[in-house]
Amino acid sequence: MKDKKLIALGFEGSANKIGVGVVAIDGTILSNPRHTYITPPGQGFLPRETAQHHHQHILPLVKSALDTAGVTPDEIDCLCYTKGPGMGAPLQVSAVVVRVLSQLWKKPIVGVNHCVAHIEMGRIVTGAVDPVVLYVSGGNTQVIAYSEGRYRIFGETIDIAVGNCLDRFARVLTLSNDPSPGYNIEQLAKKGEKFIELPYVVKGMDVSFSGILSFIEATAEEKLKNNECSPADLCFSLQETLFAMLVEITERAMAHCDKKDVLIVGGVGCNERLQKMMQIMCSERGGNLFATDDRYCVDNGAMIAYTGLLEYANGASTPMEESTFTQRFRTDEVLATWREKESAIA
Amino acid sequence: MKAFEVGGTTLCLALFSDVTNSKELLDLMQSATLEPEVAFLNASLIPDVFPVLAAAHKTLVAKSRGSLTTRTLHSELVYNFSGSKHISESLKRCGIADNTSYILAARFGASADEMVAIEKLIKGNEIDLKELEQRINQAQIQKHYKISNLELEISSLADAITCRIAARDAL
Amino acid sequence: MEIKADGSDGSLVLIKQGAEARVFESTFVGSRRCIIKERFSKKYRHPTLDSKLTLKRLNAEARCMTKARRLGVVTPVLYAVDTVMHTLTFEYVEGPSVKDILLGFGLVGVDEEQMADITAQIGNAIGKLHDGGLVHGDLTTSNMLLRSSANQLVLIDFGLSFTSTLPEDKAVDLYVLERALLSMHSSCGNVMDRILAAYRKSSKQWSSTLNKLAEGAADSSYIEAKRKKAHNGWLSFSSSALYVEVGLVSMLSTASMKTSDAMGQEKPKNLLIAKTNLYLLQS
Repeated sequence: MKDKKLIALGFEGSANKIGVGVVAIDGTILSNPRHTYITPPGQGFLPRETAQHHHQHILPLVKSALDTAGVTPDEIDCLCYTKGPGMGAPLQVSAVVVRVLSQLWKKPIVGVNHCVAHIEMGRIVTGAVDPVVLYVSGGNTQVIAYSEGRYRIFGETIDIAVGNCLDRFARVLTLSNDPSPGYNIEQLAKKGEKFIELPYVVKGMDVSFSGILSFIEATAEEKLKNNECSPADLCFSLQETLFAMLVEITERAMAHCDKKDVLIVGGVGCNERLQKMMQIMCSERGGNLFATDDRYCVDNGAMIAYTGLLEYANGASTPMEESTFTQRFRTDEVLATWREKESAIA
Repeated sequence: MKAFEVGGTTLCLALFSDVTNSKELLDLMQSATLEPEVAFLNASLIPDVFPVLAAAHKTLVAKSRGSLTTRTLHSELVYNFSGSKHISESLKRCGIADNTSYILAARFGASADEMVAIEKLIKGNEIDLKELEQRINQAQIQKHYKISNLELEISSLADAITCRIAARDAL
Repeated sequence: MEIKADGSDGSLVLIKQGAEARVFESTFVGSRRCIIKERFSKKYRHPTLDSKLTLKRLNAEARCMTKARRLGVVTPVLYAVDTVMHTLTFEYVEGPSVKDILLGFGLVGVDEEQMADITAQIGNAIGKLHDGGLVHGDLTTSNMLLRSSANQLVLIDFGLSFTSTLPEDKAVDLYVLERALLSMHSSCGNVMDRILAAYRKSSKQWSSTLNKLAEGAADSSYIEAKRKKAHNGWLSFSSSALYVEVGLVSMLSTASMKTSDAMGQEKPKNLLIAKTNLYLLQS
């Protein structure tokens, strides 16, 4: 081992957030600034505009990350970026910048799987050792557990992601996208009282949300017009239904792979009602819930830096000609070499 | 006659062939003057006692919750054995008619005296319950319970009937 | 209402505490060994949602496990349904789960003959269910038993089952199984292919279902894929992209960029963005 701790600079820009983080190998986050592309109410974010947003902010973020961390590029051991999955154009921004900086600063590159980064960040922040992971965000809904060298997907959505369902529902109600549609649904849901029955679709360890969305899109306006329910009631019912489905498949996965703890990661993981429901389920099973707040739940640069560093410390880096990005990048494609070593120690 | 343990009580069963007074039994039942109260089942639909016990179990659960569908505990047994929701149709098919000569008599928690009374009531030959299987009318069972030959590749008649008795209210 | 399993009723033995149900071993009408499966309420769920789901699944399970038998697929014989206690009582099947058998194969090696027999039975059973318009909804190897006496496959746990004739629904049924096999039994080789071979023989409608499975597997894994807009422009190094990058580096360098303060300078930053935009336009 070297005298000094390994340090990485990480770039995340797979969706509507651009983030740059500086992290040491022991998980210390030296800096983790980010900027979110916020669209007007009723609108989602499109690849091209999002990429333009990322362009505008990435370099100031690099400067701010290095300044806050108090490190110079010389002290950086590797540059980590999100290789995928995500939206193409926004992913490209970090990838290009990392290539340039790599040549400029003569530093190795490590391409990181976005989902694995959420998991590793969640583990180091919460101290969860071998949990079943519920990864819920605008683009992903997966129930994951480590088994035989990889993070394997036990359950997932068979159509749209839960965050996508929430976002699109927020658009139907034209809720503000600031700070995020999901946050505003959560606040409004606290005022909801009436439970409106929505389609509940669980298939094995998989879930489907598209039916709920079309049901809500088709009936929301009419129900609101007829005063059958309030927007708050709809938010409340939507959360109760979506989250019950997520907790259910998480519990199934726990029973299936005989694990006791749950870690929630991803943007939707900040939702306190989801955390509360998961907490109840976990304590009934004698396990623990590990969840993080929005500093770590939401996409950020530090999680990419930390995960890239884990790979780098195990001798892996990404050659320049392979430092590409890809919209499709399954969680179980990554060989989690560092986990093997962990279990060997344990 | 044989007694079976069901849900904390007993169900006494007695099987009769060559019964000659079914019209009389039917009249007694319909005028509610049958003493003691007893269920008369069309035995040609019964390949084994097990489905009868399953129907008895269902009957006792309904009784304990005060949710009998028919008028008496023993008519409920006949109704439940039918696996159908049509009450009058069930009682007609699985109960007895004027000319029924092959009958299974059933009574919950019967005392020895009561069983003697029942045996006296029925004019016919009491035979062993083991005879049930050989004396069935399989075509009628398959028709009434809608049991296909495909199902019989993996199931006995008795199991097929039991499933229908159990699942009736879930359908 | 809940079943008490504190030993006060000696005939009731808890054998499994599942996610949604407790499973007891007991005897039915005096003599028959049976399983009692009690669905309990989930405290995390809204009470209205919870009672609806519990009852819906109890009834679905009773209905579908008996329907499966009508289609010639072995399931435990149903003895009783209790909608007040939320229990199902059914036949006790003596034998290991397919999960345990395959895990055993993973440890000591695959018994080819037994593997062929089991996968054939699984494919055959699912084919019959699907042709009869029944979707199991939770096909995992834990939900398949092998009756010891007859080496006969018995499907259990029909709580998520429903009737459907849509190829999509059947494809998802197979997809759930495929994923369960991958996540649990990847050391047993390609079990799914063996099952699908038997499924093809058993199901008359296999081709529409398997077409959906092929489409669906790609779709469901990645939402982005649905956009069908391949955006992998940067996957290979085109000469123009290389040129732009080299150009960027040299420009940044000639602007006497050094270490951390380099990023703070207004001019190079704009250059970088301009060049990056140029690159993006080209790709």
